[in-house]
Amino acid sequence: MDGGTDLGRNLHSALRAVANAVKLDQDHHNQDAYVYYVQCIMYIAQNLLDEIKAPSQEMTHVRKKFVQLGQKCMERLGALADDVGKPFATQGSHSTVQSPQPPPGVYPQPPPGVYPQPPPEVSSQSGVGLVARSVINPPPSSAAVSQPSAGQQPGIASKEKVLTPLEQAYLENQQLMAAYKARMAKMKVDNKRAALMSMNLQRRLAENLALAKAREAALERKIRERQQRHQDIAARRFAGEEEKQAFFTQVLNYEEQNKWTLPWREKLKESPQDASLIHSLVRQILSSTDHPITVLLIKYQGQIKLKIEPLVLRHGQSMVPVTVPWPLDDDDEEEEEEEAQTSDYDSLATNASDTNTELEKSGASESTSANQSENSCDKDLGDISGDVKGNLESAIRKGERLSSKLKSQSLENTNVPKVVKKCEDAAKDNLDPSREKYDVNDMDDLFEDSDDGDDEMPPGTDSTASQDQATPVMDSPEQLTAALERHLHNITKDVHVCLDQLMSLFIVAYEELDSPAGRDQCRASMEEPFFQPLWPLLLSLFRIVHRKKEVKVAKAMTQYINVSPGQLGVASRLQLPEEDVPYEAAILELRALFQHVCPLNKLESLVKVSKLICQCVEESYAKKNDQASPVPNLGADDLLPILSYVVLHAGIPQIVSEGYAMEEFIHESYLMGEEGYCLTSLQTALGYVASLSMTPLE
Amino acid sequence: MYGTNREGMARRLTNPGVKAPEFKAILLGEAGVGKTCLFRRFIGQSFPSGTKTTVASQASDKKVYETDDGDIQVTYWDTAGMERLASLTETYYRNTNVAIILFDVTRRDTFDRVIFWVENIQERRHNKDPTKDIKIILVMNKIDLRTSTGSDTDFVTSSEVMKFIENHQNGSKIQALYEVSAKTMEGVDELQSFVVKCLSEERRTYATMDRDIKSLKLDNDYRSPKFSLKAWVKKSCGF
Repeated sequence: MDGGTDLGRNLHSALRAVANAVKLDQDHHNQDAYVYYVQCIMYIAQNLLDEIKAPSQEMTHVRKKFVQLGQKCMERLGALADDVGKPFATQGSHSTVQSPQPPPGVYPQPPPGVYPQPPPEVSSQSGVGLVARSVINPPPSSAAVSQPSAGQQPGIASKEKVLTPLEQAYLENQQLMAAYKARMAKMKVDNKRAALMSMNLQRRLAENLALAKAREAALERKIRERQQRHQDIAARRFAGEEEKQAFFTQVLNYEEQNKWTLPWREKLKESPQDASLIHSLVRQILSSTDHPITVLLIKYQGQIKLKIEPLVLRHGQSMVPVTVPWPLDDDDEEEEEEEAQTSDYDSLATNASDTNTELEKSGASESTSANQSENSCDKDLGDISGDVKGNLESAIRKGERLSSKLKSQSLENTNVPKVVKKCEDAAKDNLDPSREKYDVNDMDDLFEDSDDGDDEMPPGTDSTASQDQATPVMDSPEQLTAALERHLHNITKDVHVCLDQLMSLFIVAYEELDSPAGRDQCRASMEEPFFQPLWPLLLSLFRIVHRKKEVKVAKAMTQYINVSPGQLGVASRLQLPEEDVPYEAAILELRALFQHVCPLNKLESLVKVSKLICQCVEESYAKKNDQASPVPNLGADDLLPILSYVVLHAGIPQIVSEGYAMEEFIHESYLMGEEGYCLTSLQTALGYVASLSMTPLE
Repeated sequence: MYGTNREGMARRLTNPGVKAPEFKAILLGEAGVGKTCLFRRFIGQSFPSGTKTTVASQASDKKVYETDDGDIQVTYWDTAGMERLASLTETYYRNTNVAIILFDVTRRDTFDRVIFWVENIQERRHNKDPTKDIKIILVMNKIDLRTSTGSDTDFVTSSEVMKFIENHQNGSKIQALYEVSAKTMEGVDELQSFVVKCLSEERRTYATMDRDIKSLKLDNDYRSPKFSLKAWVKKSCGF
């Protein structure tokens, strides 16, 4: 073996490598120098190991030199060891991200003893190739680090399939293992070399992991730093308000992941008063699916829906939708309507007489005579459930007829199968004597529980479940109405709490919004996304609660469908007899009010109605072009009769509930101004219109 | 566009700079006693006379008064006095701080109706909203007609009204009686000053909406979960 010359050459390489390390050391690149020294030591150790396997007398001095060189390196390592831990922590991304790759030429040749075959040149390449992939030249892992260093969180890094240093190291080690196995298979025989390779491999693997861990630590530190920074920002802005701090941190973290939010923040900073910018920002955020605010919005909507739906299902299904024309001649109609309003299928099942009233009204009398006079307690369960089922079926038939008649009122149309199921369940429940009967007030308590700002209300568990089971026996319609009103009140409160909460979160996320104008705009922009899915349900509930008044208004609308302004007490100068339909523009606008889904838009529409009334007067007088008759001034005394006229001609009794709902959901600040005035006027006019059904005009 | 629509609304609601506390004053009284005229005087419009080219559309408007303690914003609401509608005016009372009840000194029937509103407000205070007192100011309008036609026995006199106030002071909050003419502006400024004075007192206990909004607490659910890198590394790397 010509190991002697090889060893001499290797000593030369080692000396060069150590010289490089010393140079780095002198230049205070402690980190790199440290790594170099270690690598030198490894190189030296490898050579010493090779040498001792085939010891020769001539090589003793070379061995000594290697040992001395190794000692020097160890000395320097000892000196650097203390500093070297720190650069990871203090020198920032540069030193940690940079791989400890030596400059080219440091390891020009692999230790020949390790890879004696094939010929030196080839062996050197392949040897480096093996090493390069593991420690000395790890470009993939440096790429993996550089990405997170751009500001990613580990969670995101993994989500976006960017490998972490440790994952990268794992992969590399796997590749190393594969290469090792392949090589082992090729070599087969030489146990000594196999052992050497195994050692080499182990060294590489260990190195790989050590480096990866170091990078991991650096990354972790960076993440901590960033989170700390966010926390500091949050802390500065919301000193003492921990929850807001937490939320703001959350928003900032979200923005790290979703860069689209960043330009908005800048734009808002530039022009915090720009109403349309605020509007677009709010809409943009609420149209995303995973912004912290949107997540909360959706959660709130779900909770509110879950509260309303059972109520609407229970109490709204059996009702005939209030429309115009509404039967006037039948005096019983109103009473029956009240009955329909207050009874539901559950009470139908329990109270035979109620059931019969309901069924007679529906004209499905064939199945009722049998049980009309009998007390349900005397019957056996099977009979009763049969009867009840019959009653229910006829009631459902009635419902079907009605729904086909009134398709336009899509909201009110019943989901028949659902009702059947529900009613059957309810009937069964009711007939089970062991089942406790629930009181309305108990139901109420369930709702109130979830009302104290306790957001942990488990949707669809307690309240809804027990509601489905509950079979309250309504002693009086008043009681039920009162219970419904309480529900409505609580739900309204919930809606407000949710809206306020969401708005305060917007202000937390964007401090620029914390001005009166910003808040107004923010709230206004929030309304549509908030109410869009909820309004139909909310309105259904309002219609159930305010049904009596709707019926009255519907009657008046039917009766006075062709009323003239003069009949309603409009002053003669404002009767506009020249017009085909006086105040037609206002009437059309009022009808269009129902198309809007959020209270503010409706309110705006209402203000427009008032303005159009004035405009109609103006235009009518302009047509006359008569200087002798000046355009009259409109005060409240004039406006209200005209508004009543407009309401009557619009012919939509639903406006009653719309008005109540608007009043509940519009922010107080609007109720003080012109908007509130128009709404109040509408309600007054509706009160007047409703009174017409009781005491007709002379 | 929606945004620009809203802009107008937002602007109306907001004063630049410091937001003046908002108060509401409503004008009550029989039809024809001059509520609308007085309203227009309050918000700085001229007395309706002669030819007009546009119809004044607003029956509610706000005015900002400067006081020593800062600005006060008063929203005035005109109401309908027709008897059939008057019974429905309760909806107008919401958030009202001051009610100005007018009658026409030349029409005794309008004075007789004053009792209706006084009792209406009184009732409301006892039954519905005891926390919010509505201060009442009685106003004798059209005093210009009284002087121009000499002393007619049918006119409502101040002493009569004072006696009425004494009789109804129990339980109601009639603050003052003013004799004005919306037409000649006589007494109108004094009346406005008194309204502002009443509201200044009210302001001392007035909590602004800003504070309410600021004190809102965040949802507990939304506290950011504590991120544990260790746990994450363990989970995703298998260490």
